[in-house]
Amino acid sequence: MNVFAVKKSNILTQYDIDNLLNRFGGKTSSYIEIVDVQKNNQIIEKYPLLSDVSRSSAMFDLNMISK
Amino acid sequence: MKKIFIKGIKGGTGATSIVANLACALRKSDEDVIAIDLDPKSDLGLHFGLSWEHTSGWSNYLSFESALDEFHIDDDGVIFLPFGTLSASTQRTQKTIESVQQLEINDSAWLLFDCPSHQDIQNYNLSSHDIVLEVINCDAICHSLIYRRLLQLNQSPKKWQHYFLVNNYNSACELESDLLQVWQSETPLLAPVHVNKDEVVKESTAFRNVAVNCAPFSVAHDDFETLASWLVTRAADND
Repeated sequence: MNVFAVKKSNILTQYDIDNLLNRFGGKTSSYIEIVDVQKNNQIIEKYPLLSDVSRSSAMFDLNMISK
Repeated sequence: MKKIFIKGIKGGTGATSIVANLACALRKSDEDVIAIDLDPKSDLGLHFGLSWEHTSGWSNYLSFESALDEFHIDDDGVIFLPFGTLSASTQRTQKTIESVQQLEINDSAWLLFDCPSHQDIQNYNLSSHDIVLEVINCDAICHSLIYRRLLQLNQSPKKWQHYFLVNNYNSACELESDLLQVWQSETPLLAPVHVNKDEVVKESTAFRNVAVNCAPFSVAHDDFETLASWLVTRAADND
């Protein structure tokens, strides 16, 4: 029988961060951004105006706008 | 010199308060700061202790050269130029921006422009080193306006560095908290710092001063210091 270690803490350790960087980060980015997409979608759905804006702007790639 | 253009995405977002407090925060770090009021409501001077009776500014003169006497200096050493009482076309405003840059001032000085929300920043002939802070509040209208602006910037590529800066953020309000959460994770060009709602900002104006001076242990003081530090970093990246 396999015994799995369960991590109960919500705090990320350096090990967790290194793993996330290896999995999702690139050589050029020194940080990772964790986004709760589901929660964001719930927020947007909660407000009709936000849903409207979200639907209308979805056809444009706004992330193309660089800093 | 470092040029920062601060304008509200709509009226009443608190852009002028940000200009005044940011100017003082930068001045406290021994930076040379010149604040120029480009907004016809001409109230930037009140934050710096200018007399209420003093209504004239650069718009009251035919040329910028003849308006040099309208430059004032506050107790902290911030130099500022009021707008005045007449109206000014976008062309005249652009001419003033150019004239200020031709003054004999330190290369490392900060030029802060308090821009009116109704004027399009695209008319100002900005360069890639210029930073535009478009001040927003956490409300649904600003959400709508942000995305309209993003679509506009998407269609006509900007030359300047554009950021949306959240002002007057009230974390106790569910809508504001929800909006900031969505903006921070999904909205391009959101500044990584925001200014929390703090009564000392209004109170200090009533005392003819700014929160950075009046309330050194306030949340607002910390927020403006953080904003100033972030801008110093952004400007250093330009160099």
